[in-house]
Amino acid sequence: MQKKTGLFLLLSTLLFQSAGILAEEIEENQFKLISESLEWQRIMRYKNKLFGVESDIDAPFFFFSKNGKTDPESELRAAFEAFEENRYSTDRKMHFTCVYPIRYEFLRRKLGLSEFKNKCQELDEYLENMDADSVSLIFSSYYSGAPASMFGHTFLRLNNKEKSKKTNILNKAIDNAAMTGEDPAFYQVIKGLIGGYQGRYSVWPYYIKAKEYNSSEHRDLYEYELNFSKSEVNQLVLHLWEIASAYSYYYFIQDNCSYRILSLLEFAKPKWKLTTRLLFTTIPIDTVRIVSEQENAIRSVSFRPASSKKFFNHWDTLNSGERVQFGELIEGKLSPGDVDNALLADTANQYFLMKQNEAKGALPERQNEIFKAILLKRSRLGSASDRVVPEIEQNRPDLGHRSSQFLGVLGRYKRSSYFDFSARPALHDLIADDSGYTPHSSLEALELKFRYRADHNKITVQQFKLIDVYSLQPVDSYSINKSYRLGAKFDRLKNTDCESCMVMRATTSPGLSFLFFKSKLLFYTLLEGNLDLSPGLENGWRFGIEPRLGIIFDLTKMVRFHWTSSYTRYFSRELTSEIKNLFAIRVTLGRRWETRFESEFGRGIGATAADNRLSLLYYF
Amino acid sequence: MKNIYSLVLGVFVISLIFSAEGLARNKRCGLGSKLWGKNNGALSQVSEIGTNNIASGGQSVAMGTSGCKHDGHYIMKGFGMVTEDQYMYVAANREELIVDIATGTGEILSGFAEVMGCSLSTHRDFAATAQQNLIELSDTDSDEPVELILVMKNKILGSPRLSAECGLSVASN
Repeated sequence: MQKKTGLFLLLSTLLFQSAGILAEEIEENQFKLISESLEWQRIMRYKNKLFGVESDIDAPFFFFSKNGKTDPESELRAAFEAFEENRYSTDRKMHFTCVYPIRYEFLRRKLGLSEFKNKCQELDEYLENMDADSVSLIFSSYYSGAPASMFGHTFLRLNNKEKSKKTNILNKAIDNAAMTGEDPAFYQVIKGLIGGYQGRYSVWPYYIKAKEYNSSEHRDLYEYELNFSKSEVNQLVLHLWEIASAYSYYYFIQDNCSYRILSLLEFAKPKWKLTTRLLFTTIPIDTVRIVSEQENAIRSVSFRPASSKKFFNHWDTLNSGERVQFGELIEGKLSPGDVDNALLADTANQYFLMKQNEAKGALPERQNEIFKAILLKRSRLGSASDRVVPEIEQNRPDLGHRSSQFLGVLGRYKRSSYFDFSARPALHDLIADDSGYTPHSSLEALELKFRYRADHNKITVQQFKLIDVYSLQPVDSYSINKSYRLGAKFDRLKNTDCESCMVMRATTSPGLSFLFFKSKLLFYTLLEGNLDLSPGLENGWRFGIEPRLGIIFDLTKMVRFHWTSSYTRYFSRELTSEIKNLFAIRVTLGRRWETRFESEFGRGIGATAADNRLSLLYYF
Repeated sequence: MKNIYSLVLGVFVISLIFSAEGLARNKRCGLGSKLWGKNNGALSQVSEIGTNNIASGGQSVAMGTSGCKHDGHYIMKGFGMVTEDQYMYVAANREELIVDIATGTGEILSGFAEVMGCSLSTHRDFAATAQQNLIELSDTDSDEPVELILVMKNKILGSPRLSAECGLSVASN
């Protein structure tokens, strides 16, 4: 690796000689000009702000100047002095020329800094360990098991060409995360929203990340190999060296892990404009889309399925007789010694592996014995099954619809027409096209809806949906996936004497779902509990229990029907019960456009009437 | 009263959205910490996968599994000579590795062959050797990766071709 630093110094020396400027000869305005250069702004991570610029690195020790975070020129001068004096970092136990090799090389090139042949052993070792030929952007899919993970996550993998496809798990992953320590969850949320944590980069063996997502959380990984040259990869690695000891304050909504990953890519590939395309929020899948939309950005996409998906893929390959045997085998009714079918044994092993991951530890003793016996038998059946388990079909998240949407609605309710307009920053709802998303799951956040009523001739806020999450994971033969709904919103009080009153509603519900007709039809049932708070209600509140049934049917990929009916029993003096029905149909008009028709009707106490809506939706 | 409701509801919702991804998940990390000796470094990373009895190895552990070519990064010297790369790999992947060994193929098994120093051309032989010795390998203490690694090394030494290709000899041990 001395070779690498040697080469770096050699190049720098050549550039320096061609510059041939002595420190005392530098004209005053040169500092200003160079500090305004795009390259210096990039190296120091300066971003344009309303007034001037500001580096997105927050660690004070990252800057030589006291004002370095917001003053590029003073930072340039201070850096020049520090390098010219060949200062030593007592914290890092190496010369600053080793701590900040990119800055040093830049100043040598632009201002003719002196050449110092400092020994950078740690840097050399780092470069040797991080030796990579290409880089992949990794997206871990939405995790329907926990609402918090429904946005997904991104990180990078450095690929070494000596690693084959079979051993690329030995490559390294680069992640960025908030350093939360042992803070309680509630405290983490508050601090996370206001930038109370330091966000830092970290390097992991990729197999640890793959295990975490694929096995522990049953999440798929999508690996987008980027079109980076070797020198761009080297730039990324060297930039990481400079910034990894520093930190930036971590804001979960925008300045989060995915934003930091984009920043790294942007540094190494200045042609790509990535972070400037983010407006108010940084949703991980949007960052993948932003990258993939750059010219010639993606070399290849590979897929690493979750362990549960691997099991079900094996299971799907079994014929009906083998499925019966499988059931007997895992229950211990069929002796593993009597199994001569490698595929059957492989399926059982995948099953127990999935269960072991779910249990986050050892299996119950009896299951463990069966597992060991099947493993032993499998090892005596040779290397491969005579039947090939087909590849699992990818559901590439970057090809799904965009995260944000505008919706325009023409509706009629109680002989009066209205027009609704709504905006929603994230993410996906139940009737939308599931391509790229977890099927039959939804996450709607921060949707604001305005209504114009022709008879009143005024615009009002109709609804503000803080969050609405559905996870309708179907029950299968070998695990009972619980379905649930969680929601919180401000809405108008329908079917009461005060329909202009706002109500704040919190909903939570467990449930079960079942898939039929080759996954085209989903039947679900939920038991919802709703707490309503409103000045329009007697006592200001009511609590309702609402059993709900629903069917989601995909006629084609472009057309989905949704029907749901519920009966609500309110526990207050004012209302006793209510029946509600909703019928909806969605037709996809392209990747960005959809049209929908919805009809809501029912029977209850107070005024009831059908509410019919025709809407046009645009994703952006 | 309404304000209190709003506050409680708001915090509940925000908790839902943000409580996991990027928060609790990442108590451990820090290239900086790993490289420059701050808290939550490599050892905490290793301890998370159940190997907190590892001897401090410093930077080589921090920087991952492959490329550990320097002296002084061994869990055991003498007969064993188990590297931290090998230790971490088995500690993190033991369950999947045993399944791959039984099957005789798979990427976790290929990765194991590589961290054991065996070239790509030997992976098939390596897999067959491991498969033939599944009982011995799977009977090792699941909390002590060194045992499995040493058993596998012994088996490699039993094959002149494998031991040559994997750079192992009795003398080197």
